[in-house]
Amino acid sequence: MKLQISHLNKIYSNGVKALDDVTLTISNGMFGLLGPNGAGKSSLMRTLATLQEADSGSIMLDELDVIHEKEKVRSLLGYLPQEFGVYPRTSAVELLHHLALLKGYTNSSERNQMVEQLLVKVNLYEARKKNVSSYSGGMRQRFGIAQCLIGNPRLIIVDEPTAGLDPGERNRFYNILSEIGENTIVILSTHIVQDVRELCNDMAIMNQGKLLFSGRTDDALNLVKDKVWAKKVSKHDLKTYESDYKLISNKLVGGTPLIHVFADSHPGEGFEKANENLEDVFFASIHNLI
Amino acid sequence: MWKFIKYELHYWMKSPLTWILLAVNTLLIFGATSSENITIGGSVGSVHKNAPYVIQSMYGFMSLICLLMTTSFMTATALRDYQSNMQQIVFSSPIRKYEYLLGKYIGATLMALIPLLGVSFGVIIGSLMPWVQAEKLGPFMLNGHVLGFVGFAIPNVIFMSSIIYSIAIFSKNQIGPFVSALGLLVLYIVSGTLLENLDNRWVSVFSDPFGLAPFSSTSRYYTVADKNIHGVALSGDFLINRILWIAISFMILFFVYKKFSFFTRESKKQKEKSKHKETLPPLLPQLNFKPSLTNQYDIKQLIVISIFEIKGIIKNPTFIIIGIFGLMNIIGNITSFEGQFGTNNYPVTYDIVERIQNSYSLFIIAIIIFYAGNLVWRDRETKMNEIKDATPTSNATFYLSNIIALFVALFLLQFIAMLFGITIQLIHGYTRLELDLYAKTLLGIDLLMYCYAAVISIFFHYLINNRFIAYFAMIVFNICNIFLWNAIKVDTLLVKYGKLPSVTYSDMNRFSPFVKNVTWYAIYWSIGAALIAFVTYLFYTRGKENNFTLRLAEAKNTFLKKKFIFIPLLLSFTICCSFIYYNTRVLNEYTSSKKGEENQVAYELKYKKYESAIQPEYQHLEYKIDLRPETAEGIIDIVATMKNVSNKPIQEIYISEPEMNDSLSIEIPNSSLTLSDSEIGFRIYKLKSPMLPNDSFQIHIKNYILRNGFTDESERLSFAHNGTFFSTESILPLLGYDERLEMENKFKRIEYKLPPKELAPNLDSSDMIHRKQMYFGTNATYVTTNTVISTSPKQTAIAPGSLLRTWDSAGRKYFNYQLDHPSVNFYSFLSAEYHIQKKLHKGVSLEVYYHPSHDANVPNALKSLEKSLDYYVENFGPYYHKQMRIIEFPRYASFAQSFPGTMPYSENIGFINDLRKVDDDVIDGLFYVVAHEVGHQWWAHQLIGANMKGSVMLAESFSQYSALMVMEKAYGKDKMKKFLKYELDDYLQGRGSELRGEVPLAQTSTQSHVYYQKGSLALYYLKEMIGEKNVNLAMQSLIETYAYKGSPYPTSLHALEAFHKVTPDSLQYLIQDLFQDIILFDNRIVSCESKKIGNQYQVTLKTFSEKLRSDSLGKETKLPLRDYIDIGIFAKSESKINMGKELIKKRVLITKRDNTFSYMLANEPYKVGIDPYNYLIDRIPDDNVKKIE
Repeated sequence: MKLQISHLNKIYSNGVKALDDVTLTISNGMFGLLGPNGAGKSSLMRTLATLQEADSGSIMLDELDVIHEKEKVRSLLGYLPQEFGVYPRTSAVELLHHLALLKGYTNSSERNQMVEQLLVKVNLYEARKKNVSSYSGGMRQRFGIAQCLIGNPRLIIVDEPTAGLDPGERNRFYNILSEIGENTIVILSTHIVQDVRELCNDMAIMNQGKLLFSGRTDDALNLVKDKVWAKKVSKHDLKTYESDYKLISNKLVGGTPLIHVFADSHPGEGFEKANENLEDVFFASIHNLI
Repeated sequence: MWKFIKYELHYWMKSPLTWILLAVNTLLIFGATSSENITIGGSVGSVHKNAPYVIQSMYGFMSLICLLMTTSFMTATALRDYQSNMQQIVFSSPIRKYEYLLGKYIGATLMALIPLLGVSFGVIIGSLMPWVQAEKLGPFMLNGHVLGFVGFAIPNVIFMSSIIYSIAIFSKNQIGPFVSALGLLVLYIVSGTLLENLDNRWVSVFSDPFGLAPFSSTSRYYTVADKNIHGVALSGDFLINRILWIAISFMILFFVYKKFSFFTRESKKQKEKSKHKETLPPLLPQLNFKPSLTNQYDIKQLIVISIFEIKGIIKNPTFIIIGIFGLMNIIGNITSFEGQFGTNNYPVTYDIVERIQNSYSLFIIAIIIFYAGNLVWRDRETKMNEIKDATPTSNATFYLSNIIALFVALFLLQFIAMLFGITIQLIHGYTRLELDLYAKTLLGIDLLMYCYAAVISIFFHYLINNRFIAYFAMIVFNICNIFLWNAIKVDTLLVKYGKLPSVTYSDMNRFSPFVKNVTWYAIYWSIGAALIAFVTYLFYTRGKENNFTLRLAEAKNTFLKKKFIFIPLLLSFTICCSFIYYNTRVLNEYTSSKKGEENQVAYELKYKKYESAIQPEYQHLEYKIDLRPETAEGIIDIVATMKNVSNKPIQEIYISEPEMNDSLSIEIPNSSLTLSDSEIGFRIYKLKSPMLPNDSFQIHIKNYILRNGFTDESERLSFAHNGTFFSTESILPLLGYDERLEMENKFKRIEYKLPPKELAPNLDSSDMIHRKQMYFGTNATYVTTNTVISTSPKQTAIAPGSLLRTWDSAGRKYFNYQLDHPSVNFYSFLSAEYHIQKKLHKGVSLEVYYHPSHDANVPNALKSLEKSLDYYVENFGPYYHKQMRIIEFPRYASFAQSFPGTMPYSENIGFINDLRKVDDDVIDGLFYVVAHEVGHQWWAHQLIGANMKGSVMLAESFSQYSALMVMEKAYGKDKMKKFLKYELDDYLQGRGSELRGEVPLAQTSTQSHVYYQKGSLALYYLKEMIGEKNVNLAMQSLIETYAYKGSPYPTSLHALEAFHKVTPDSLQYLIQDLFQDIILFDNRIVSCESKKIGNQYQVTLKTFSEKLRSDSLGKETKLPLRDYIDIGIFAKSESKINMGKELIKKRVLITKRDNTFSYMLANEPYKVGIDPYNYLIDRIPDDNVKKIE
């Protein structure tokens, strides 16, 4: 399968440009969409999930026009929104049944079997009769992925699924995601660089509605290879470094700022070459350094 | 603490809610003050629209309405910190508990009072409006505002805010407070139903937390003057109630203070079930089901989704709670079936259904409004929407499942209500359940209307796409739908969304008159609702798109795709609309009420000049009536003989058309029609040669009562499929100008700039012009009639007089009746499928015609006919007809009426009295009404008064007295006390809503509480004082002098003369006091004690007596006492209502206020009393008797 997004634009009524001429091609496998909060990731995801209109542009899923043939897209779609809630007083089994029904599974014995399998798969089988509203964050997120997988969707969109999860739950979540069949597009949006590094071969970076990078994760790393330099500096020198160097990021390590700067050659005394990582790619691209 | 108060004040001052509520209240009260159509606060009759009493009532009523407003204030205040998750920050700051709790409470309570000030603003602004009639306003009086605010606004707001605040603090959610507010409302309504039962009054005086019960019981007998000047002072029961409930409020607050803690509650631990490992099902390697659904619309899917939605509604606690309150309210309304005189009626199904409708519909509407919103917003609120919206299920399925779920929930609510009704019927031992009637009303018409409301309610939410604006829009829409159309004079149901024509079910005529219009309107609005549903579907909100332009574009797209649904719907809607319009407006002439009034005014302005023109009289009428019950039509053919009984020639005949005049044709020999004003209904026939004195001729009248199509409000219910009942009034042309057709309402006359109208000519025995006319003008003295009436084969038709013969012809049944004695020109014709019971008594055939299922009380009716006939013949004079008929008619009207020998009697009075316990203390209401109507055979039909004030006393008061005597003979004197207590209560209450001021009994004309209730009291008292024999003698002498004598007719003064003649000198003052004055007494026992001396008891009692004269508005002045009043001492009674054996009864001449009496008795006394039987009119009758301590 191939998802072709061309020149997608969206401006909200408050003037925010959520999508600014986004053009992107996504093929089977895991695809990571990286960007800071408010970059337009969710807008793009919702548009792909047929929940929002675009002002202009087109989205094609193979031969399917996503914008105009919403019903057909929806039957291929699994979607886990960034934020979701559940009905009160309703158990996981009941809710999965309901959603399976909404996805068109009207045969109740098939539905039973499918729901059961999903619950086992996401390790919620024992808690299936509890109300979903009483689940912990991780369990809820697993429930979310279970509903997302109903009916073997060909296009799976998961929006910021790991936000707020502890490392253990996050690993469990990755494992489930990684088991999804190969003949499927999985789009994972996140602001956590780690997620993409661990799961995705392809990725894109967005900021302020614009697509800054798209391609293979390795290519992304190549962009900054041998160009990132790190140095520990004192706090009151920070200002000077900010103006003198192409600062990628600064973070505190043991209370002292550690800065990364972007430079084709060794930028000066005290700087050491840093191991390239996606975080540097991320910051470098949103600061327009690459 | 002050900082918290100040914070709340600032917060609410800035909040639009405060000012919106204030504006709403001001507007509502402004409307009530400045418009005739809105009534709040009991400004009736001559009570001013801004009277202190009215303002006070408005405060009382509005403080109840503001219950939900106060709830909003208190809940928001109590929960603000929790909802904004500020509690941990606030509670960890250095503040004290009482400062925090009390400060917020005081601040919010003060602000919750502000909306109530709208009452004062509304009244003041409303009374300044130029269009309000000056007669309806009094001067500005501060006391009403102060009493209202202090007596109702402050205590009620304190009470409600304490409760709501406490509940909010503890429950920490919104639902709890709102549910309790509803609970309070129900408590209030239940306490209100208790008040209706006289004996329970003291309970509800103190149990009413809003103080309205003591307020209304204190002001129960207030006169117009009391209401206009004083209002209800803060004293007595009212004050005690207010203090009691403020004290309770503070106790609640104190409790909250004690229990409240700043520690945030630990979240509840989930109950851990014993861990018992389940074996996991094996994980299958490949699961690859294909969705079985290829088609987007699948009925099975729709059903399963709907069931899921229904479960969601039913499991929701709010739904359950509102439902339970609704049902509680029903129970409150179906526990007592008390009718007139405290006699219960059988719980007949139509009554139960109507009670359920009245007490339940508001709750259902609340559920519809609430749940429509809930269903639409639930997904978005729980944030399920994005998941759900990304599934391939179609919009139509989502929308339909919502609608179906709401419909099913409504059905369940109605069904449960029906079960309640049935249970109550069975508890009362009533087994005629009529399930079909329940099904057609609660589960039929009502459910349809609720469904229409549900459709539009959901529509607003999707179209507007903002929950709160949509709620608001729905409420505004409802109000407009009810009131707006009338206000802008669009007077057709075609525009009132979802409203079906109103229906009155009758056991006799069932739904017949309403079937056509209700069916057509149901089709019309069902299509209408489907159209709205379709538009809702177009705007179904899916996904996160909120931009209206985009949604509109999307709707347009969908519309283009689904035109094939819309076009046939619109087409059939239009056809239906045209069809209904054709029926209601083209086939049937429609007259708006406004137009009707204008015609009435025009009649007076244009034709009053003919008022004094001499006209001939009806002498003999030959009726040929063909009733067609199959179509509820009738063809009436009358040949009337007219005679000029004056001594002047008549040149022109003036005809005022009767109410039914669609096809009225009149042929007058040798005359030409020179004027025919069909709009107003007036004609002039010019005679070719004048009609000389004593000349007579025959005129031929044809009046066809036919039906074409149907109307909005079913009309002409007097012609029925089963239960036709019409009288001469509605079909017979009136001769000359008839001033009874003029507009009567005092205020309407001012509005139309008509001169003031006297209700009747002033009482004056020497006014021979009006003494020539009888008090109900009939264009005749006494007439004879012969009637041939035909009806359908199953029915019996009845006309005045003896049945000469019956025969069948051409599939119709014919009856020929003839009057045995000339009678007033006022009689009725009836036809229905009757069962008949007859009994020949003293040459008179006593007959009861009744609906087959209404047989329970027929023996009582027969008994009453017999006893009445006996008593009246013995005491008043002979009976001239050969039959006495009680004939049941459908409940479109609820009265009994007396025509010569024939007394039609509505099916919903008497016939449904539950008289199974009539031997205990139940008053036989049917027996009484029959005796009253039979009384009219003498009083009105034999002795008829002149066209003057006071003549109604000769008819109604005398019939009341006659019936009382028959009752007393049949059921004993003890029951009379109970009966007269109701009469006194009705009289005293009636005085409070006088329109023109009260007049003495001998001058009354339209005030029913005077000629019925005061009439009963006065004549019964007269009988107690001068003896039954003397009263009857006087009445007999009137019959002897005036019965069937024709003009000049007697006046009430002639009756007083007759009473004077039979009254001893010492009691002559009574005639003046009872009939020509308005006298009230205040008698009471101040103290009493009993000492045992040897075998004897010495009883000493102190009494208090005052005699008062009231002016027409109820202002009282003290009169010197010189009256004979009874003193009684009674033994203990076994029965609850009876007084017990009289040990002493003395009639004492009382001349001063305070008196002491002392008696020696052989038996042990139990109670003492002054005027113990309440013969005298006394505003507090209960303190006349006292138990000995």
